Amino acid sequence: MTRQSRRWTSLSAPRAATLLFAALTARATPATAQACCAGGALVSPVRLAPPDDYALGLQTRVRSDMGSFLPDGTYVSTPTSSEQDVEQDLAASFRLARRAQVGIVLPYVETHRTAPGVDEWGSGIGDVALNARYDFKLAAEMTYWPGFALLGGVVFPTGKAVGDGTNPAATDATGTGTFNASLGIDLEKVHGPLYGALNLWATYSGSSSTPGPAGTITTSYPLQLTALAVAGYVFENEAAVALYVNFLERGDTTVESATSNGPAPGTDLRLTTIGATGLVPVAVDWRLSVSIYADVLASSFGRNEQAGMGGTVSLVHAWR
Amino acid sequence: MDGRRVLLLSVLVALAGVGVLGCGGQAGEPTAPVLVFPGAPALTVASASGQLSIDLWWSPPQPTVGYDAAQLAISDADGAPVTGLALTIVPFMPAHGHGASVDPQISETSPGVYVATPLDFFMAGHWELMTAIARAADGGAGDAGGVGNVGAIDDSAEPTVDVP
Repeated sequence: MTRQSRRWTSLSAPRAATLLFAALTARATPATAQACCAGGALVSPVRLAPPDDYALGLQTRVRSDMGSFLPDGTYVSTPTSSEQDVEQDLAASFRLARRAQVGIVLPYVETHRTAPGVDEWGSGIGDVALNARYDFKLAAEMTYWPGFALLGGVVFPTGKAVGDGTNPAATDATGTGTFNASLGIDLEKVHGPLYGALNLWATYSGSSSTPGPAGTITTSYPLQLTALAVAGYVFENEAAVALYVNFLERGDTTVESATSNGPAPGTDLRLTTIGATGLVPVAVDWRLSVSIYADVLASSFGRNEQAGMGGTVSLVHAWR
Repeated sequence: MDGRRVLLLSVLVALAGVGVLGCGGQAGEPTAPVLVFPGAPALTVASASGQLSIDLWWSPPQPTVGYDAAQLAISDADGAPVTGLALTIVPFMPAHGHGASVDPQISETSPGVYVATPLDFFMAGHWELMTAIARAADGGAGDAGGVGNVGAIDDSAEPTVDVP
């Protein structure tokens, strides 16, 4: 659903996007949506609902960048270049126990960049993500208290990182070049047709290396924090709609090389994204969801990130 | 919904992305920057040791996404140009931890003046030029015996630029 700017971009951005999708895919979506459970489907294509045993989904993402945030938070539009990112994700979820499920996301990434003299596409396999979810309490399980779930995820550097034989426009860079691991919680509550959820994530990224002017440049990243808030409404015909806001923040990186050592001021990341999503059950075991989103293109709502807008389309089949 | 309609939906979801790919595009080298550096320097930085001063010009004056270039005029504490240096420059995005796909070539175009091209700023954002500066005590291979050309140098600098 939400998609922070991408991969390389910030090497953490693709990571964050993949992780977020991984988190979302770990949420349940009932094949036959019910008010108690359809809310989760608003933000997650391939999450297993309590009666589901496994699910398989295909998601397409499209994103266009319109500008970027400078280190001081100033937003500037891009005057002479453009970037479009397209991605097809094959996602699957499996139930391990009554309250435990795992999932996998296999992304195929395409990037299009234009600049003076360049109009180039590149593509390849992206970073594969594994995720897991354990529901201590479901959203409708308690009268007043929200449901509570523990979320985990790991992203593997299966994509090609920038500089790893990439072309001049780096359109064939499809990954971050490093592992990362996330731990999060999901609070969600239903009240009649209303649905609300709050996800909080902390993401640890392994250091990345790239050739420098005198040896290797090693970049270390602090924990990245991500928050996702969702408010939705489920109709009697089992369709559902929701609005959401996603916020990510990460502190300054640490750069070590022959010419530089220590924290690099002004390298923190921030991005704020708002969006809307809708879900329609298209058959007993099928559901179709669509979302649109935009990064908040106002100064101070981002730092060191590309900013743009995009959308997703997902089709999921679940088995019981 | 019957199986055929679901299958059709699946294909449409997949083609939603692939269709965009069909819009086409072409591979190619970004347009080479014009190596003209008029006016006052865009910035002046000191080397890590503090022994060298570097005036820097960009081409174009406001770098944009694509191939850009930089001119570095390096002088010593007395203001004399330092010749015969071996510069190695790597464009680097410290917030994202990656460099660029293309290494710039550096040449000394006049005593103490070095031009680096192309600088492959392939995306918008905050870039650093991680610059290693070296010269052997005997003057090094590129030594022309010019002004300020005395002793060994093992230094670095990290001028930065925001590319919109």
